[in-house]
Amino acid sequence: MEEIKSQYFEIIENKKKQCTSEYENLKKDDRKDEADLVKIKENIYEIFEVLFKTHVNQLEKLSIPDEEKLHRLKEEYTKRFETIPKSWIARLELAQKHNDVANIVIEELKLQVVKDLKEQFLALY
Amino acid sequence: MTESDAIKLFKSLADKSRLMILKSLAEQPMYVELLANRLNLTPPTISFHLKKLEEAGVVNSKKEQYYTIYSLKESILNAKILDIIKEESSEKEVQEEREEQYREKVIESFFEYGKLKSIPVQRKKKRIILEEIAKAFELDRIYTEREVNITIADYHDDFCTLRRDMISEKILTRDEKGYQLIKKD
Repeated sequence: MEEIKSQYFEIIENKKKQCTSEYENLKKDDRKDEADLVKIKENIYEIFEVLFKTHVNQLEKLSIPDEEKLHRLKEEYTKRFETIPKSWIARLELAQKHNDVANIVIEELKLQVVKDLKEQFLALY
Repeated sequence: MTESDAIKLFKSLADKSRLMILKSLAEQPMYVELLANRLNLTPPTISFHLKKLEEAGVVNSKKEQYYTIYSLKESILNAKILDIIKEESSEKEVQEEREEQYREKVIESFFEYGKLKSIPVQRKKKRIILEEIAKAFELDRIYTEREVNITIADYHDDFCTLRRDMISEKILTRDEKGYQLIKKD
């Protein structure tokens, strides 16, 4: 599990670093609204980082074989990619119904980050 | 132009991407994908900015077959900044604008896409949301209790509380014939 743990943390850490630097550059370039969108992306990476930490911590406490831990981590953490964005999908549908462009952009962005993270996580297995 | 409209206008201009969009539109009207290609931004980002520019009254949009074409609203952009700054409002207008802004803020926080998210506790705020719901009622029409409930239920499930509040706030009146909207002075 150690390998996957460190690789995934590294992925998230790099994504967050990219966001921080993109945010600063956009702000310097007087593109505050776009910078705020990047901040939203960063927040989503943080949410999934915390969730990952929680799952890993819980599994590390168990006296089960490493293979079983890996299997459970995949199963349990992957579920988070479905449960967490549920309300965002609902908000996106509502925003689309009302042609609320600003919220459509925000919800689509959040869902894109989740999709990307899920792909990266599953690719580690 | 009111002070808040002027602030909205200046805020909409104080962004590099939006300025680039306006520069492109100054050449010719364009649709989102074309602007995205020219400015190397994603179409959702362009749409996001165009929405802000449209709200500030700087651009117009027009549907043409499959595309929405955006163009500059020259009347606003041709106005002298000094004229906008110098525009004066009377004390009464300033006060009315402040009240309207407060009203809009309350409505924005408690309503989402026309639905009431929660009933405010503070009386002043509750009065504002009740007045907003009252817009669904016609003047000089008598409503049955069922009709009142159905109308209010469009906004919030707790229509009984809201109906009673509308009576106590003297927005609706009730007698043996039914419910009626009270005319404002």
